[in-house]
Amino acid sequence: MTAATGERFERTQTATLRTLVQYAGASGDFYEMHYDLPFAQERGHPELSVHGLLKAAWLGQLVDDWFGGRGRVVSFEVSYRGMDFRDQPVTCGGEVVRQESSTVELALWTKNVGGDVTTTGAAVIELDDHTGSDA
Amino acid sequence: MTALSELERALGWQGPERVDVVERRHLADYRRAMGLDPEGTDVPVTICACFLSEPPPMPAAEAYGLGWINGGDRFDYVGPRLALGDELRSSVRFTAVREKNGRSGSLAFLTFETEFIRSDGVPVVRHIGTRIRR
Repeated sequence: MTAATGERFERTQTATLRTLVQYAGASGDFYEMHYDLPFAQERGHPELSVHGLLKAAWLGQLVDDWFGGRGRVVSFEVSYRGMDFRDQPVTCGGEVVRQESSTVELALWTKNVGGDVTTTGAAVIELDDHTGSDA
Repeated sequence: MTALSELERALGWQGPERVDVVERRHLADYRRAMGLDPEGTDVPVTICACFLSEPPPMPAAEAYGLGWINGGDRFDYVGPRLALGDELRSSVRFTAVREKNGRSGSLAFLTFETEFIRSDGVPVVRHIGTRIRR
């Protein structure tokens, strides 16, 4: 597998209340911000917020699907720059920013429906079968 | 004692040891929440998020601000990829704190580190989480 610098991939996800409750149950993160609207509003938020680690899970899966098991993830990191809220589409994206030998670096992000970046991130992938470089 | 100094005094705090298993039903729940086929057996790279105690159960954190915000997460994959049946031991450690003063008031940025070790002693994932109190 080779990767071209600038190659981009995106996917849109939307978390419903059901999604947030499912994620709380699976992850064990029952912080009320994600399912108790009065609790969230008392803390100044307009709506139930999407778990940051659910956005991370979406981005991680986007990365995983992109390289399709033809290698391994070395590192994966995200920084949450803004909140996303239930029932609002979240665009999850990635871009190949560098390839050197079998190592590929990806930039990652999520954007809200207004186009604001709500998460930035990066991943490093070690490809199994490197046959060329676009460097 | 200020809330910040209480956090600084808590540096080095370590949570109780956890033992978690990547088991089929739990994996199905996690995959379903992500929008994936729950019957799939591929283990998402972020599965260790399920083995963190969130929000971190550190008593000193409650002294600062009203609530938690997740600032960021980093996973370093230092061993074989996780598979169904893997048993992991872990314990979260509180390793850093810094305060920022912004337009909406003061924020405390807390760093928590967790190493996940497989039952055969092989380290597999290291996690660094930034959690914010405000």
